[in-house]
Amino acid sequence: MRELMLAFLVGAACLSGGCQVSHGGRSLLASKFLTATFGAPASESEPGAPAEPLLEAEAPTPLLTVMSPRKVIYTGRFNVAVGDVDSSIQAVKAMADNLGGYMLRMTVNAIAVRIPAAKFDSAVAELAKLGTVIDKDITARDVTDQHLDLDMRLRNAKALQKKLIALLEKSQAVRDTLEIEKELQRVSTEIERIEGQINKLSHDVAYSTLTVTFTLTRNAPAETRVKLPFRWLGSLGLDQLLAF
Amino acid sequence: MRHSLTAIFVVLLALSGCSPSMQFPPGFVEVEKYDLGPYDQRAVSADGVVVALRSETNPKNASLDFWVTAIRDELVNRRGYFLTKEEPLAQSGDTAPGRLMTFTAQRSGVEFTYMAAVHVQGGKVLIAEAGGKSETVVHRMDDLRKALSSVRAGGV
Repeated sequence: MRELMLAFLVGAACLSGGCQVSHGGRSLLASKFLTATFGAPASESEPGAPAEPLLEAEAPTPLLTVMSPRKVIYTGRFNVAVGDVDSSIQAVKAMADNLGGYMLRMTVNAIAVRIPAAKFDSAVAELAKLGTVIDKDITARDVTDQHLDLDMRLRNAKALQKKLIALLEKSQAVRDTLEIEKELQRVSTEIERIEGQINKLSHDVAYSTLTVTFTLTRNAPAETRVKLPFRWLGSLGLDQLLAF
Repeated sequence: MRHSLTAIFVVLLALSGCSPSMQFPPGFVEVEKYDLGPYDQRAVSADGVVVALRSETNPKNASLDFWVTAIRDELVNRRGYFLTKEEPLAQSGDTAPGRLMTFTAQRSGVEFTYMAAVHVQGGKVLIAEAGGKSETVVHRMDDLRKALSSVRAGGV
């Protein structure tokens, strides 16, 4: 029964968002929790700690292996002045397709696409060819720690799940069985949630997001225009020619 | 009397040679004077293609390249036209070599074509223009190109 209680306590510590700081393959908070609860350090450097067997189901991956390479999400926002917004939007869509990406959303004057991260620079270079880049904002968000944390929480949750299954097989009292099943259900849901988060994070790392807003050249901000002191230039073009 | 008539004829001949001119394409009708606008000559086809010629002062005697760049920048970078072609125009008669630029532009979702032939002749810049719906212009492209290449500087 002590083992069952221990499983619940570690599960609660690990899965309730307390695993943000990881240490040696185990949540720091969980370690502190175990130490405080059972009076024994939950550190791998101290053999014989009572809580040790619980999380040994999966050997912790060396920290350097988990952290390398860095996981970075690239996001780019551009405002480009063009003569034809519609065709420029189609050009960006075609570019995304050619680079192995896809369209995320499209409006009257903007398009957001996902581009394989390795081809982000190529996409940015292609964008510059469409017109005059009025504004750009490229951000790189390092999510290595977040990914590592999720990975640790997942491994802990899976270890707990395995332990609960083992307990369930041994359990004979109906009340214990019900409680273990309830906890197992919660842990399974949590595992699915963490896996979903990891998948999304991995996808965000693999595919950069590029949002391009197009501005018609004639509506471009004044600072991008240089007006020459010859008024008749302004009367060139279709408007004057075709007006009677 | 004979001398007077000769003098009048010479004066008329000289005056007629003072203003720039161009030959309109077949099927174009020259508009009335009050429809000229800023143009020296202007003509229209029944299906709405317009050709016109204007001359502007070239105060600093700027080069052909200067005006071609200025016009291209005005239309492309300020007004969203797309330059689709730029070609040289050979010297013709008294008119210096020029440059013909062809643009497209969208109007209410319809594509229009605009052509501008630029010549620099001493203190004047001569611009021959043509424009209309692209679907109409495309059938007249050869005639329009010929007309825009026919600019005569006259006495400018």
